[in-house]
Amino acid sequence: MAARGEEVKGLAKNLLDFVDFLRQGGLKVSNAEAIDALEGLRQHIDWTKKTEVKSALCCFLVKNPHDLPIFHSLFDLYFQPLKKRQAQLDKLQQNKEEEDVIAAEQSLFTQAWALPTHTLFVTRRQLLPPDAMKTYTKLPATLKKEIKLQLNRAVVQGEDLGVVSAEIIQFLQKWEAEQMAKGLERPWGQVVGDLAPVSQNLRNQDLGKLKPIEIEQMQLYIEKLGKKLATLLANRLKITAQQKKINLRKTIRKNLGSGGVIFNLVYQTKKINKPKITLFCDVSGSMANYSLFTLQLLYGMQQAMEKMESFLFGTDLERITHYLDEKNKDFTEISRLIKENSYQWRGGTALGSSMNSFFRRWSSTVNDKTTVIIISDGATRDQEAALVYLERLKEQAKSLLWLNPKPKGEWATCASKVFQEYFPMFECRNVQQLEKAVTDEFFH
Amino acid sequence: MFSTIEELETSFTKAGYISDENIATVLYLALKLQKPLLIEGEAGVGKTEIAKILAKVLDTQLIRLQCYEGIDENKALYEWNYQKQLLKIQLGKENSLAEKDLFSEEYLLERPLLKALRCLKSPVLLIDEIDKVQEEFEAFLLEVLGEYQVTIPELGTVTAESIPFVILTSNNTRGLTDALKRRCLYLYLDYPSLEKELAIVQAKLPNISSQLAEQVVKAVQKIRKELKLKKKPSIAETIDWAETLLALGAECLEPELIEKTTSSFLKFQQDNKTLVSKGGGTWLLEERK
Repeated sequence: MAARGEEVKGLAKNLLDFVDFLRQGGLKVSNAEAIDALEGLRQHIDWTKKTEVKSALCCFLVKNPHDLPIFHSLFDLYFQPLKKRQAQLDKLQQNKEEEDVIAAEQSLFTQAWALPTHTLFVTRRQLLPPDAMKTYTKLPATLKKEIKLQLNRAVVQGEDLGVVSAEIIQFLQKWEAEQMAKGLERPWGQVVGDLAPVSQNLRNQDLGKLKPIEIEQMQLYIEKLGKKLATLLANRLKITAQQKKINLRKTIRKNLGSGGVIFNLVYQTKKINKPKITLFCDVSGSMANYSLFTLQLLYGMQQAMEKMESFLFGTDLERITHYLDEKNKDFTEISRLIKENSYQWRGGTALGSSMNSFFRRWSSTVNDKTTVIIISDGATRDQEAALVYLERLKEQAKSLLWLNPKPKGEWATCASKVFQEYFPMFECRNVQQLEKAVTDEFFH
Repeated sequence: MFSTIEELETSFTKAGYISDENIATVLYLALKLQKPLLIEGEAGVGKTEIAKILAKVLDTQLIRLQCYEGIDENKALYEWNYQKQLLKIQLGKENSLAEKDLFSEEYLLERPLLKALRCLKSPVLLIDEIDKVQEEFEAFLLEVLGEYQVTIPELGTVTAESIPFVILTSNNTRGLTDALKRRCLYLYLDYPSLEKELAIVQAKLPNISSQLAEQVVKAVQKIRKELKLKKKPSIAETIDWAETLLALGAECLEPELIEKTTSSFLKFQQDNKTLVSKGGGTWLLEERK
C-alpha cells in the first residue's frame, strides 16, 4: 500500500514536471486539466503502456488540433531515459544558438548594406568575437540598434575600433551577467517551442520571414482561419429572438388564424450593417508577404462584409478588386494573377503619389460607412504629401486604421513614427496579431 | 460497462466501428470519469458515429441535440406547450382553473437535454455540431453539464437520475470557449491511415472485392495528400464512392469509371477541375514511385 502511495507521488511529480514542460513549449494547460489528468492516470490507465499514457495525457491536456504535433514531439522528448533526454535538449539548444547567430549575422549584413558605411561590417568579425555575438543576439532590439549606431559612428569618424569593440564587449558581458542574476536564461522548453516547424506554431510566425514551403502552409491556415472568423462574425451579427422585442403588428397578423388568441410571438429583427472595407496594401520589397496574407484573410471573410475595395500601392496605385470579385475562388490563383499583372510588385514606395491617384480616380468608393485599412511600414519617399492625402481620406471615411508589420518597439524610431501620431496603428507581424486586429478593430 | 480498454475496442469493432487504441483510451476515460467528450475533426470522419455506436454497445438510448445557429434553451431544454395551455384556458373558462394545473407535467415539452437528465438508465447524449451555436448557448450548456441539474421555475429542480454519457462534436468552424474545452476530454479525429480506411470500407461493404477496395482507398488517400482541394473527401465519401462502384458492377477501377463517378467523392466543381488538370483518372491510378 505504502509502495503504491510512493508510486502515485512519483507520478504526480512527473506529471507536473511534464505539464511545466508543455507550458514552456507554448501550450496552455490549466491546473484543473492537470488534476484531471492525474486522476485519470492514477485510477484507469496502465502506466507501463506508453501509448495508453500518451493518449490519456493528450485528451486531458491538449484541446486544440494545432497543439497536437507539439504535444507529440514534446511527449516523445520528455518520456525517455534521462541521459538521452538531456543530450537531445543540449543538442537542440546548441542548434538554436547557432541559428540565432547566423540569423543575426544575416540581419546585420542586410542592414549594413543599406547604410552608406556598409564597409563597417567587413571588420565586424574582428570587432565582436563569437561569445559576444551570442550575447548580442539575445539583446532587445533597442540595445542592438544602439550598438550598431555606435559602431557606425566609430567607422565614420575614424575612431579606434579596438577601443570601441572592447567597450561593447564589456557592455555585453555585463548585460549577460545581469540576465544570469535575474534568472532570465531561456528555459529549455522554450527552445523546443521555438524549434517547432511552422505547421506547429503557425500563429506566432513572422509573416515576412517564411520559407516557400511555409508560405504554402500559412496560406492553407489563413484560408481556414478566414472561414472561422467569418462564421464567428456572422453569428455575432445575426439578430434573433434574443432581442425580446415583440413586433406587435406581425404577431397579430400571424395569429389571426386562431381568432386573435396569441399562440406564436414574432420578434423584431434589427438590421445590422456589415462593414464596408477599403484596403490599401503596400507591396514594395519586404511588405509584399504581409499584404498578401492580410488580403487573403479578408478575402476569406467576405461573407461577413458588405463589400471590399482593394488596392495595391508601390510607386503608384492599382485597383485589384476585380480579381477578388469571384467568391470561393482559390486564393493561390488570385495571388498569381495579381502578381503577374501588377507593376508595383516589390518596387519602391510613394504613398503620397499613390493616394493622389486614388483621389483622382476612385475617391467616390469611400464614404462615411467605409473603414479604410492601410497595410504598410510607413517607409515612403513622399511622407508629407502622403500625410495630407491620408488626413483627407480619414475625414471622408468612417475610420482609418493602419496595420504595421514592424515591431511596435521600433515605431518611434522609424518611418512609422509620423503616421502613428495621426492614425490608430496596430502590429500585424504574425497571424495572431492579424486575427486580433481584424476581430477587435475592423468589426468592432 | 467495460473493464478494460481492449474490451471497449473489441466491442466497437464488433458493432462495426473500426477504432484504434487512441480512440478507445479516450472513450474509456470519458466513461469512467463521467466527463463530457469533445470530438473535433473534418466533416465525415466518424465523429457522430462514435456516439451512435457507443449507445449501441452500451445498449442504451441515444439522445441527440442537433445544434444550429440561433438555438436557444427552449429548443434544447424544455418548453411549455403554450397551444395546449391556451386551449385548456378557453375550455375551462366556466370552471375554476388553478395556475398550477397549467404548469404541470402534462404541458411540459421535454427537449433533448431535459430528456437526458430524466432517463433512468444513463443515455448517450450527443450534442452535435456545437461549433454552430452562439457563445451564450455554450455558457448555458456549461451550466447544465457542470451540475447535471436544471431548475424549472414552475416545477423545481430536476437532477439527473443517472449521469448521461455526453459527446459533443465540432467541425472546428469556429473556436470553442476555453471554459467548455477545459471541462471536456478532447479527441481529434483525423483522416485515417490507408490500412484503417481499408478495414473500414471492407467492414461497411462486405461484398466489395479486395482489389477494388484497395484501389479506391489508395486513390482517396492520394487525393487527400497531393491535391489542394476546397473539401477533401472524407471516410463517408470513400464509402459512398465504393458503394457507387459496386452498384455499377465494377470489379476494379478504370480511368473512365473514375471520371464518371467523381461526383461521389468531390463535391465542388473547382475540386473537380483540379483533379482533371492533374490528369484525372489516369493520374489517380498511377502508382507512386
